[in-house]
Amino acid sequence: MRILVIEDDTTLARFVLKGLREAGFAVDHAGNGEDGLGLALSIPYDAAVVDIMLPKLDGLSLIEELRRNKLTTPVIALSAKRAVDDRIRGLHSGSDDYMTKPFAFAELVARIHALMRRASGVVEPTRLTVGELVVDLLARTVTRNGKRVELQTREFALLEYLMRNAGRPVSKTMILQHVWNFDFDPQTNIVEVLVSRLRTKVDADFADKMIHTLRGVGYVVRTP
Amino acid sequence: MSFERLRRTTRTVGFRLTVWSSSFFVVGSLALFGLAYVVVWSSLRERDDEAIRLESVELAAQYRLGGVPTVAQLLEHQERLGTNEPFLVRMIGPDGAVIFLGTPERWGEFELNHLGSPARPPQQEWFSLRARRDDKVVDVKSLRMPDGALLQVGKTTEDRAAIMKRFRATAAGGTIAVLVLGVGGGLLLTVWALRPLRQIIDTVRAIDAGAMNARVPRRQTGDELDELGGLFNNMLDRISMLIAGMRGALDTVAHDLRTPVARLRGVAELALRSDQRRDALQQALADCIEESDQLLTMLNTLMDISEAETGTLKLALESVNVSAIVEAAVDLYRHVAEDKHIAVSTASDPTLWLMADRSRLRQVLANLLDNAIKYTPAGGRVDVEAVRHKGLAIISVSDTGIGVMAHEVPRIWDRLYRGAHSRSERGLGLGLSLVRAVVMAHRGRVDVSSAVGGGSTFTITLPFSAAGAE
Repeated sequence: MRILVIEDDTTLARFVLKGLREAGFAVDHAGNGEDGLGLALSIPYDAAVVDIMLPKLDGLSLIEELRRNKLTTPVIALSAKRAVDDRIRGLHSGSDDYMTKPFAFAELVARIHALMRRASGVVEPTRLTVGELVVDLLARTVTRNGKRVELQTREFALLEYLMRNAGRPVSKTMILQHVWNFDFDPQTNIVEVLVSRLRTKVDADFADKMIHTLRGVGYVVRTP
Repeated sequence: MSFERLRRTTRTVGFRLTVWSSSFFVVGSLALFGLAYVVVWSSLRERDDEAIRLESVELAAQYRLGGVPTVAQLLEHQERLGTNEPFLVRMIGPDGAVIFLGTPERWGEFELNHLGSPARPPQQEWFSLRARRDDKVVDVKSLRMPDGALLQVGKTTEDRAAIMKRFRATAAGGTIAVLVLGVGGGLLLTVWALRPLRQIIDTVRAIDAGAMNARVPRRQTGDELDELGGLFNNMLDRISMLIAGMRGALDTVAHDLRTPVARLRGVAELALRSDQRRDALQQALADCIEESDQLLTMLNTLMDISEAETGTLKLALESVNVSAIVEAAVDLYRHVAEDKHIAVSTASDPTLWLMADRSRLRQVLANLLDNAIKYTPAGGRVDVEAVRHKGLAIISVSDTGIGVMAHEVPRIWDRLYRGAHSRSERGLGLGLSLVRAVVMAHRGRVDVSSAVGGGSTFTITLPFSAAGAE
């Protein structure tokens, strides 16, 4: 998987590059819009992360230029503005997404995966498996080591989301968005409460824990 | 320079209005004078003609009665009476000789031989005879007698001409008066009418030059231009308010962010200064992330509040089912409430729809629920109710919690205010400020009734549609 990062802020670029490489991606970097467009037009990337405010050629024009050249590379636009303007909103079609700075790195990785999944047209699985934990999305049942685990709606939604991102941490904000469709942070430990319930049902009876808390980052499901 | 000035003047609305109005004035009055002239002139002429006709008929009758002497007698009689101004009377016998000429000394100045003879009678029954020297004119009617004689009766147009001359003089004077009135009046009128516009222009110029508090002087006449001035002032007031609001918000945000930034810095500095083990450093870094997330949430919330308060918050208004919003918010806190053994019940009218920003309304309800659950001890209850009342939607969140002390009530809406009991709880102290700002942006209101130890009820009243849409 090869990803192009077009970002002019060197500190942020270094952070994103390092993180993406650790997450297993091959990453190229361009520091301005023109160089970025040149790279994107010559190398078939699986995804691109593009800052909106770029020297020489701004991010939105760059994306529009890519689309004019019939390149459908999934793009995540990074904006420093809090209110997302309409032009970015207009971009948010199947192969594009946007995030506002600052963002949790886990969220960037999750969005890249989601976009690439969508772009590759892979048929959605009906069953998610991590180690001995199995989630059947059709029957809406969960088993661990063959033993049935009874979950309530939100608990199921949380586990499904964690399992889809198995091995990759997801942030509190991402959970709020996916499980409740709330895009702001209520100052109460809603997510912690739900995770702790899920943990009780999934991990309590087993010595090996599968749901892990990464302080300051989020939660992750992985094989013990 | 002066040419440029002239060109600028001719381009002004006032100048053009004056020119047009006075042109219409003058053309109108000229047309009126012209019409009157024609009418007067033709009626005077008719009167003269009628007099000639009557005289000739009478003279013809006398001639038939007693010939030339009778005619002369009648004329003498008429002259003595002085009733009529003298007529020119000439009679030509059938043989072509002039057999009678009345008041010849007076008519001498006319080319009487142009009157013709019976052998060569004048072409028309009526014709005009011009004086030799001056421009006097005599209208003459010719009448053929049964015996072949020709009776000619004439009358000068002197009277008529004098009247018309006076009329023309009057008309010319009138036209000049109208012109002066038209131009002068038009000028005064436009200057007077355009003065408010001029004042608005001056005000804009002043503001452009930096005097932000310049305002259009009002005349309180209630006309359109005065109204325009008023609206303009209102607009300026609103802009000033927005600028002041934004400046205030910026100050507040800058001030409020200092504490969390200081905390963030403190955590990092402490970790760096001491010689710590790896897991302690990791702990410190995680704290830094949490602090910065908190900082971001705070920044966003403060900006939301400021924008909502200054009216610049963009509301994505759509038809929203209140019941669905209530259920979603309750669902968000379901597990938290269960863990704390607080019973949450809802009673909402499922047919209650509002024009509102869905996401913002959810945020408002979530914040109120958050508060209610936070300050209600285990075993308590929280009731959410949404009803329709007199064209308004009323949503209330009641709890059996610790309540708010009376002296704290007015302050709970303030940014970053944290009551005596809330200091121990997690939170930014922005929840209620945001609730109030968002509800007010929707043109609604929020009230609280509370008793210490007896719980609190927060009530939101929202109009069905107005919702900030202007």
